Amino acid sequence: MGVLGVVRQIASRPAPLLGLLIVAAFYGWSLVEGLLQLVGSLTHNTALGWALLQSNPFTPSTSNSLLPPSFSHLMGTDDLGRDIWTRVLYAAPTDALVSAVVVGGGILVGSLIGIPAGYIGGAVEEVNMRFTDLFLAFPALILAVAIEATFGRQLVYAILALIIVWWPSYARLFRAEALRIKNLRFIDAALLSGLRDRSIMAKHMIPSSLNTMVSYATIDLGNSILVYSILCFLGLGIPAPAPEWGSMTSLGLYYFPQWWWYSLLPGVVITVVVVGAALLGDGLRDVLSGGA
Amino acid sequence: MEVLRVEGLTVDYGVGGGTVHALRDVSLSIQEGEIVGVVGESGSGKSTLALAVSRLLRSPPAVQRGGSITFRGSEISQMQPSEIDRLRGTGIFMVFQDPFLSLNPLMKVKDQIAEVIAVRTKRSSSPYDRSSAEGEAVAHLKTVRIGDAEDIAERYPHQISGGQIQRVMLAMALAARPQLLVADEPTTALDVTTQAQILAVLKEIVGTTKMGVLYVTHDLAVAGVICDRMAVLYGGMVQEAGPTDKILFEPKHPYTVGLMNSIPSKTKKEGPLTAIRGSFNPEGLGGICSFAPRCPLVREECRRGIPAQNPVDGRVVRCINYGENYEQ
Repeated sequence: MGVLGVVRQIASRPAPLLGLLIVAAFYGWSLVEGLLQLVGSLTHNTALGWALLQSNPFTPSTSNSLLPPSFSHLMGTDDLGRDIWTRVLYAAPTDALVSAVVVGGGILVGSLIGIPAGYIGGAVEEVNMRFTDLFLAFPALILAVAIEATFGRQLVYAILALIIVWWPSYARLFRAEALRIKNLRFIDAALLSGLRDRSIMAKHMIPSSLNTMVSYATIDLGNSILVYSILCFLGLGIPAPAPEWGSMTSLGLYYFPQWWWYSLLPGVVITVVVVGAALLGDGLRDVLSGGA
Repeated sequence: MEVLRVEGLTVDYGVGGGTVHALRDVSLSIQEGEIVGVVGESGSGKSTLALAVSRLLRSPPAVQRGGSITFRGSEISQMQPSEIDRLRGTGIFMVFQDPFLSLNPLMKVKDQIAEVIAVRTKRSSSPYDRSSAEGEAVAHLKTVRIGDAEDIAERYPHQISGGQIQRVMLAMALAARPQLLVADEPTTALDVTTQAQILAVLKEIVGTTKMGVLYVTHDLAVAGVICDRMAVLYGGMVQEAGPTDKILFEPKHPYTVGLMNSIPSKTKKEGPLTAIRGSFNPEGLGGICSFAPRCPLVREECRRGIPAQNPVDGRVVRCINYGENYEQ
């Protein structure tokens, strides 16, 4: 079944289709907007970053502060009179980047630790999995807060912190997959062909285990956005005035409940993306495991 | 030149506190270009023997208690994994019983064969070229009589049939150019026509490449077609071993005789089919002839010890009817 076949099966049921549309819209928009921001900052023409938006997400306009949602301001305005929907759109690429890099990094580190643990076993397994347990023993959020508080408030450190708390669950998943796959006949056949352990793991074990990872990773994209938003909510994201979904939700709390839209609507956006990823991931699992 | 010599091989499985004797004092040898059959029923230890020779026995639970496996003069049963790796592919290759999952479902047929070619060329330190390797893969597929080899080479394992997968495995064996091929019932899962074709291809390959083949099967007819010599395994022991013609046409051991009598005749009406009474039970066999509980000729002396192998008429027979000798 090719990629097209998977998409067709996803699209044939309402819940996974909804998830697919949300995730596609989120990453599609993030790609376009992110490229514009990147080119804008490289060419010292930051205005390019809001070329597609209805207004400048940074310029305050005190006469418009705290306006409720309306047709001219879909999600209302914040305390400085900036359009919240515009700022949500401007912040999207950051969350897209964080989720993709964190989940990708988690898979990479997790496979490097987990596959040898499951395939070789013995001492390698003990060392790798106890090392993994060490990281799992810390509450993830507190570990991330500690790392960021130590190194500073920068996107790079936030991503690094998240990868550090993210890989252990993938290491466990990859180990479980390796244990399953290593008993399949084609691994014996590869051994008999004279392949070394390293190439068996790289060529046969990792590709075969990715099938299981795809659905889990898709759900995880949403989770990583959620945790990143929590970091930002706690004031550990990228510094103001740059917009971020979690920090917008956090700042808006000062104006809650009278000016409810300031905090609530960015939170709703986070929820929609997280739920969308979960719906798509669930659908992918059903399709890829050959069931339902 | 002798490719494989197994001497007194004894393998136990530790299962839930107890042990099961899978192989006891098994000896056989294979010369270049020779096909040696190992025939036995379920539980006789024939697959354990195949896995032991290709060093794929999972340990635990399998433990080699004694004996030696010598491949081209070097003892392999105590080798380190890295030394075994160097022997695999170009030295020993194996074709499995079950075509299901013996190829990686994520790799095209040609890539899988090319992988073996890459290992072989790397070992002979000649340059590896991807496109010529793919060409060679297609050539091997043609040798094993896969119609439309170019098309099959581009497919994934789930897009081809079980018979085709077994042929692809044989093509991989050709690509690896092993000195010893271990075939663990490679045709059992296939229909009779395909089985005959694959046996013919295998025989042809052995004729041209001079590889030795350890052919494991439960099917006496298949063994009769393909093997030069054979060993009949029962209860983990070789009961009778010698040239195929001798064993099939003048069986001596009561078990072999029983097996031959169980083959229904094509020409005459026989009434009820003959069978060997009872069924194999691995318990309580320590120290006596393992076939004694089912043997029609059983007598007091059969339970005195494990019968030794008696040379009789060009083969060896482990039965006291041919000389009352016991293992020490």
